[in-house]
Amino acid sequence: MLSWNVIVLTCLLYVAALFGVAFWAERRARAGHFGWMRSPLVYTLSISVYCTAWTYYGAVGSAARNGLEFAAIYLGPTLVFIGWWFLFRKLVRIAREQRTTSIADLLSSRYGKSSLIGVFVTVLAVIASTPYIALQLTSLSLSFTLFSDGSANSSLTAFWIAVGLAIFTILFGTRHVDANERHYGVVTAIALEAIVKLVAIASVGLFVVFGLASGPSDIFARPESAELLSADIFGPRWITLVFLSATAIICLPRMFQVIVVENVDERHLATAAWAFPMYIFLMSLFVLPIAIVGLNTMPAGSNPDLFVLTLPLASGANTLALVAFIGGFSAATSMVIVSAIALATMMSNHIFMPLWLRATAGTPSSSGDVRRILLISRRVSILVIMGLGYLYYLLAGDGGALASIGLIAFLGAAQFLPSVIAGLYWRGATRTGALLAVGSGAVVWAYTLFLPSFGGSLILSAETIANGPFGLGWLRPNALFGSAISDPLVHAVIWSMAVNITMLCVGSMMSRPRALEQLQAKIFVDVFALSAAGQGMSLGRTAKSEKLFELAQRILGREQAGRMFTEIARAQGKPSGLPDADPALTARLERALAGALGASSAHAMVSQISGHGTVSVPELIRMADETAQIVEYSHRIEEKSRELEISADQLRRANERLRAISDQKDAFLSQVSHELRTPMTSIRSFAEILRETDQIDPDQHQRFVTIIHEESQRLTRLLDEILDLSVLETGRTTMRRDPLWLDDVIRQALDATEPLMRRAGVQPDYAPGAEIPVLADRDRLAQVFINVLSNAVKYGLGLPPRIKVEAVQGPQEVTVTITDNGPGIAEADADRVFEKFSRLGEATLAGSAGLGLPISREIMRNLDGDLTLRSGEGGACFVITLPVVEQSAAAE
Amino acid sequence: MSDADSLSTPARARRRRYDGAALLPIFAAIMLLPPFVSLFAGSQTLFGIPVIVLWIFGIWLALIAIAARLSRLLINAPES
Repeated sequence: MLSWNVIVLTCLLYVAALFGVAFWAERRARAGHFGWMRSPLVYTLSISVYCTAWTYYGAVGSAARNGLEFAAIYLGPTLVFIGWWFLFRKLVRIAREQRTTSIADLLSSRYGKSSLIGVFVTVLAVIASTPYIALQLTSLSLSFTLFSDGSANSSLTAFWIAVGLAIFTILFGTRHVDANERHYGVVTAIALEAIVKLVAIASVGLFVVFGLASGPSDIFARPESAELLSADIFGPRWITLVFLSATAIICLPRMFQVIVVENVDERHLATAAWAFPMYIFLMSLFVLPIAIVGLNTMPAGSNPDLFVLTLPLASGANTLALVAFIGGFSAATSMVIVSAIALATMMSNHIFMPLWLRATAGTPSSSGDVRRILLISRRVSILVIMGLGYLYYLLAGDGGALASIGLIAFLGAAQFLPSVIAGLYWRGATRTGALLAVGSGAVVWAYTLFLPSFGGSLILSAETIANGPFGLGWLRPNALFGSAISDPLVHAVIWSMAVNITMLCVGSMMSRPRALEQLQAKIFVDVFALSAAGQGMSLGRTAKSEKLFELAQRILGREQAGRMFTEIARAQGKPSGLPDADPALTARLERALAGALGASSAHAMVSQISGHGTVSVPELIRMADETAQIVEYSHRIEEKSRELEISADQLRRANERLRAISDQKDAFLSQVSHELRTPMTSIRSFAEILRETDQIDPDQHQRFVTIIHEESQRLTRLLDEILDLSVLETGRTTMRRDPLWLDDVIRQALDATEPLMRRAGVQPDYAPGAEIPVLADRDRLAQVFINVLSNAVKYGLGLPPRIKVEAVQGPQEVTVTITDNGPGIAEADADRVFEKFSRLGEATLAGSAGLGLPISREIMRNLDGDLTLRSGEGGACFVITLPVVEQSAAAE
Repeated sequence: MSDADSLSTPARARRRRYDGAALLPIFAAIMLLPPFVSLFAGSQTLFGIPVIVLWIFGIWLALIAIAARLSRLLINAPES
């Protein structure tokens, strides 16, 4: 039996060696001698932090209970790693370009540098990880007590372990603030621990298979083997475990830290893609044999979780037991160290720094050296996390409930997965969606799995767990809505993931992203296309170079800030002095600060001096992807063509109208010339006769001169009428508005046309009624009546010829109708009556050029009345309307 | 260049590698998840070792080998 002193001494030596290695690696890195520290091998080995004490000891325990089920915990990461080309490559590229410091930072940065998401993720990660850290302390103290003679106080042991780990983590995890969160000392020490772990378990495995048993076939021939392997484990729980472990390798804060944040070269992933699966393959190769032999040879009731230690001890292989112990020690310490660094970065960047920034807001330049504050907040965070872990260990004790803590932590971290995946591949995912997803998923996780795991001692009572809150059976944590899933883990995974993903989709659909969010979405989703094109995208904002430089100095340090600004100034072509402040410089500075502070704090600090800025229009256009651009473009074209169609239609109609007017004008001109030609011809011919004939009878001479005189009079009248019409049509004339009695005007018109009527034998029929007052130009109104009456005499001769004149005062208008008893006017000709020069039929009377009716209508319209033709019974009926006038107005 | 016929041989090989990188995890998941994996969950043994153990660890090793080969090809090809 190994003595307690030997164990403690070995541990101390081992820890001293770790400190030495870490210190040496850190010094080499400071001096710039990276060498193998930046090799893919070290990177791969550091990922082995996945294998904690829980997997180191617990895998054997799990195999002893459920056979091959333990393998699922390793197969999930294998699947993710062999698919590195799609997920990890993108994650690593984004993290390098955005200087991502943690998974909380990744999500906060993707969703518009939101500090709220950072807080959400950090809190959930701390809640999920604290029990996990406590589990490591438990397994360490368990393995220690195994060697003690009972005198050692296990909680005191755990306390000193926690203190030692805190010191190591503070020393090597928070040595300096850098623009990229890389810890060469820690990573090297972790890689060393990975080798120790693998060597330890492989040694125990080989000893068991070939020392205690005689080869694998001997082991699998034992009865326990058949018993373990006979159970049907390949059901929903198997799928759930593969899924959870695949999720964990992406989302656990410590895994994100070593895989993404500490990655120095994307090509290292290509090696890790097969080398890490190889590592965990070797780690799990001997698990089943150790479990079978343990069950077979160890006394009944011994703890299968400790077979790795107890098997060598029982067979007296003390040195091997020591190696196995150191292996377990390595597994536990590496996990705690990396978890503490990852969580401390998250806590300090997303909780302490925003609080400090808020407290010092308004005095950004007087707040001194941020670096010191940052380091202090990191160190305090580490102490807080270690303290929480130890506290949890004290409260929960060595209870068996701890065994399931690993998977509970996995599911807690899995709540980040939908938002991470959506953030990388779906540009429509928004901050609101991610907040709702992480928040609701966390609530369901806590309610269905985390709180019930305390068995009624935390928040949820045992009664609530068994029967649901307030006796509501359908809200039982292990059977939500009566779902009959017997395994609580499977139940919790299904419900929390379903709620999480649903909220992410619904929240993203219902919310509108801000400009910065859209910009970040584009940068994340299209990271390869953007970095291939060498295009950076930035907000359009800037500040004085001096202020930016001052800020950089306070966070990155004088030397590093100076180097960075000189480099940028060179790139801008300035041999000396500070670079020109442009949006690109501001963005670059913010990225550099993000490496130390996290994206949201860096954004807040830079915004304090540069303003928030907006996304410029060209950037927005670039952000809209090609499809959206094409859709937008075709939409615009469609709109344009619709507008064009409308204006083309308008043009066509205008053209038609113009053409019609032009036709009218042509017709008018030809008719005018025709009308002018007839009298001109007769004037000319009679003038010629008079000139060329010498002896002409005076009577004939007199007749010819009379004809010439009459024809020229007709010509003058015609020209007068045309002129009159043109003046009336253009509305350039102003009619007099005298108060008149309508009866007087009609009588005047009848008197004027009396000779004409008598000649035609027409008997006018007019019965003056009540006095009707109107406002009009007396001569013009009389002209209209005369025109219409003479028109009736000319065309409307019935047998015996009669013309009826009626005047009526209606409520709205005064109407005068002049009706003849002639053949009437055909419906088709009703409009043509008012056209210029249109004489129905060819019956022309001398003295009229056919302009009488058009002129009359224009006069009436100028008097606010109208002249229309009422189609109807018997002869033609012309209707003359005038507006009604107040009696008093007419009386004046 | 999206037309498959116009691709030169290295470009086609590169595309095949991308396809392989996408298909490998899917193929692995099918091999390792029920119902497929349940086919081997009997009590038969081969060389004294249960078939299910051989299957899981064998597939695992094969995946590692394929991933190693594929990764080398992917990383050595210049990015398109």
